[in-house]
Amino acid sequence: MNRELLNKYEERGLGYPFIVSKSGEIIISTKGESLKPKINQMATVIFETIGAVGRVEIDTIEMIGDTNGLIMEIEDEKITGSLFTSAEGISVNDLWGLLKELKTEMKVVAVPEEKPRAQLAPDFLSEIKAILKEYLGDFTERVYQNQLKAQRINPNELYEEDARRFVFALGKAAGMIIGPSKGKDLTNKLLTKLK
Amino acid sequence: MEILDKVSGIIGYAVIKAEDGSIEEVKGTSASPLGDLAAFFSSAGEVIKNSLSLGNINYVSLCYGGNRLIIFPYESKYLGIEIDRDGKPLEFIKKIVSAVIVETRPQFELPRSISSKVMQINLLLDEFSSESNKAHWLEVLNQGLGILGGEILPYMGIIEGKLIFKDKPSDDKEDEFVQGLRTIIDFLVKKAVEELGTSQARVKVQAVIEKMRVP
Repeated sequence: MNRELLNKYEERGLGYPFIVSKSGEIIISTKGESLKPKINQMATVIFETIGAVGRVEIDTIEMIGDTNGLIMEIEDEKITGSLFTSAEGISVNDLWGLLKELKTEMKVVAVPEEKPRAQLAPDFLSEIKAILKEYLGDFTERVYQNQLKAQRINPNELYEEDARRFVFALGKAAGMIIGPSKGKDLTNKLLTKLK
Repeated sequence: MEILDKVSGIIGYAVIKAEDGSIEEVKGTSASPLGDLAAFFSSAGEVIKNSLSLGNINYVSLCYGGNRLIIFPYESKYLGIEIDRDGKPLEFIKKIVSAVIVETRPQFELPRSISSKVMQINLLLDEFSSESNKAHWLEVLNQGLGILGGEILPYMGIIEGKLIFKDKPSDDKEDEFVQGLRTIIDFLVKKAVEELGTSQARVKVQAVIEKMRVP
């Protein structure tokens, strides 16, 4: 099913679309069949490089050469991407649009076994902000807004894993103002709100 | 590469030697390990370009959180430039290359409300630091910019130990920028109180106020 979907997007202009898992399983469009080992090798390099850097949560990679280009969406265990020809007139933005559409369609077609994500109540963020104010006073608004942006948090659709990431980022940023031990104290206090 | 300090939109950057992948320089207010990211991904790019016949690498772009790192070859180096996530890689590369070629700073006048705050920050840095610990106070300033700067960040740089504006913000952003700079000043003063004690910090802040009164 996934391969048919990849073929469909290839017809729409997305060059050699592929899905490759960390464990080495790979699905690629029919035309790209011969590229399987090379895509697999590339994915291994990417996963290892991300692992080597560690704490940075990279979610997209674009690698553009003068002959071919690669665009990829990165998840913990999986890369969805496209290998395309860097011909003049190719719009990388359009390819990103197709890749995102492909991913959305894949989600609709499959993965019913995925655990539903826990969405948090809308007032969660105001509670977080109130605690933050106890520690940061006048610095609260800027630190809060900057981390909201840096962590790409959507206040209208907040899930537990995003909130956890946000809490740790707030604790780290606050630590630079009030010192690491108070920053840790703040993180722990914020985490209790998640329990 | 001091010229990169003058290009607006750059949050931080790393310079990597292409021949051995070693980190030559990392600067800016980024909270991410730009040196490691640029070094690891430039060498990953080399491996991948050969196996997938990409040709010469024009750039590698990574997105994380609200930021984007563009890594591209320049002479015998790789430059890793962190910008806002929405920034366009090719536009930035062109901007940097042309800045390197021209190597002149665009002339513009900042609104007085902003320039006086920048002046105040530079005077505070001079007052708080002695000859031996200027680097420490610049690091404190970088930290403050990193966590509190927000939208101001791409407009600011530190050249020869001074905070500068690399580009003029749009008029409708003036109040927001003034507010942001005010928070940075509060942050520096808070750090001075912690490190120098209340009375010494107060004396130094007073000295800055006096200097600012001088026409």
